[in-house]
Amino acid sequence: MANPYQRPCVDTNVFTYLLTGQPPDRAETCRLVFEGAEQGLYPIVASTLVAAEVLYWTGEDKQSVTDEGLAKIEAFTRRSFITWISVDLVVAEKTRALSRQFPVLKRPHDTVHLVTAILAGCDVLLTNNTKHLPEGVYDGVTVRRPYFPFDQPLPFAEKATAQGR
Amino acid sequence: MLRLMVDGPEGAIPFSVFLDTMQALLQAVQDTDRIAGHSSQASLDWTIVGLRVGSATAELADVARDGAPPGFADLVTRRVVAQLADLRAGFLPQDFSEATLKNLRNALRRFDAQGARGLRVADTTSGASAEVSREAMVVLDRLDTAGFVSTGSVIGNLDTIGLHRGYFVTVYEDLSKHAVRCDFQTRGRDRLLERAKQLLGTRVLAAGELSYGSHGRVQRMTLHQLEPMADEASQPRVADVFGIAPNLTGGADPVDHQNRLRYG
Repeated sequence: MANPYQRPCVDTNVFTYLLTGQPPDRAETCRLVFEGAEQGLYPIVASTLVAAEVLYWTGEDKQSVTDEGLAKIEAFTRRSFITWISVDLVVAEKTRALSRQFPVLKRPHDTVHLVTAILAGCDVLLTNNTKHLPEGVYDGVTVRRPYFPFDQPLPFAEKATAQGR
Repeated sequence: MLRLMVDGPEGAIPFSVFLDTMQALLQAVQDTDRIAGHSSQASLDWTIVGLRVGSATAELADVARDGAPPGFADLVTRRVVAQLADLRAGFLPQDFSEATLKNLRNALRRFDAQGARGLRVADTTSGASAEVSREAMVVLDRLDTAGFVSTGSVIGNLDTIGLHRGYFVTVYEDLSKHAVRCDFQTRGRDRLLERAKQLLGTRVLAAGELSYGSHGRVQRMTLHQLEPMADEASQPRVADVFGIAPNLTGGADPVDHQNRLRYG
């Protein structure tokens, strides 16, 4: 079993896999990550940039979410197992500093999530965006693709299977 | 076990300096306990198992309160030693509250070459130790220098409503567990007070003008807005939002969608 984490930070795509449920294998892993937090195994940390990006509407008709769905997702982001870290001047300055320390980090938007993880004392940043956030260890934070290193199934996994999800 | 030592010649360390230093170190241990345990209350008590003179030394053993996980005292001990090492290296310890850091500074201010010369904290299990002297005051004096002001918010438990020297609430921040005093702005003060009464003891989002210390930690806030964060029982569960918006990305993979949002 992979190393258990104690305080994962998640990138926007981890939220999006959960909400879209697609593609199923990746969405399932992300669901388990959130389910673990809901059951109190660990808190999830995220940048407020995630809250801005995750429901950002680009104006495309095919990008539909019902009003009820929107309200539910917004309420979900306020669950107590999610700790939000604001993008403030401290985060901005550390983001600049990290770009010099790790030249492989080319994009400020992505580096903000890594800095969030570092400043919040996380042990891992979970993201599938390994093109802009290459897997590795940065200032004590391991960047990895989402994984769930705890015993399964959790109760909801059984429920979801029964519902044919 | 944790060993706390005030270093100096036998018979020359003032008792009051010893007590003040021990008090500041105990506060530091309790801050670290709360933050490592993600709790507003400490999980460990400490009892004296040895006192020695020479350098003045107290050896403490932990007594876990209900709910402290196995190995938690070792974790707290390691973190306290590491943070004293941070202080010696020129960084402000992140787990220690501002009040603790100021008390530590007040104790160190009374150190001198003839009496108390330094303080040392040791993890007697691993042998790791850290020592700081009066020189650490240079780092602690940063607490007084100006930081910066920014609009923003703090999320945490609304713990206190105060009326002394102006209306304020205290919010214990989710992550750091540090208390942030949020002073009411004059306009809308009564409305905010009513709101605070309704939300006392619950998790809130407090928004306003944040004053940061030079070490990048929020010191206080001028409060503009107070909102409930969640009534957990009525909030959607993971099961409720899993796959709730299959078209959120317009059919694109979430990573591609995210990169399109960020970089076009």
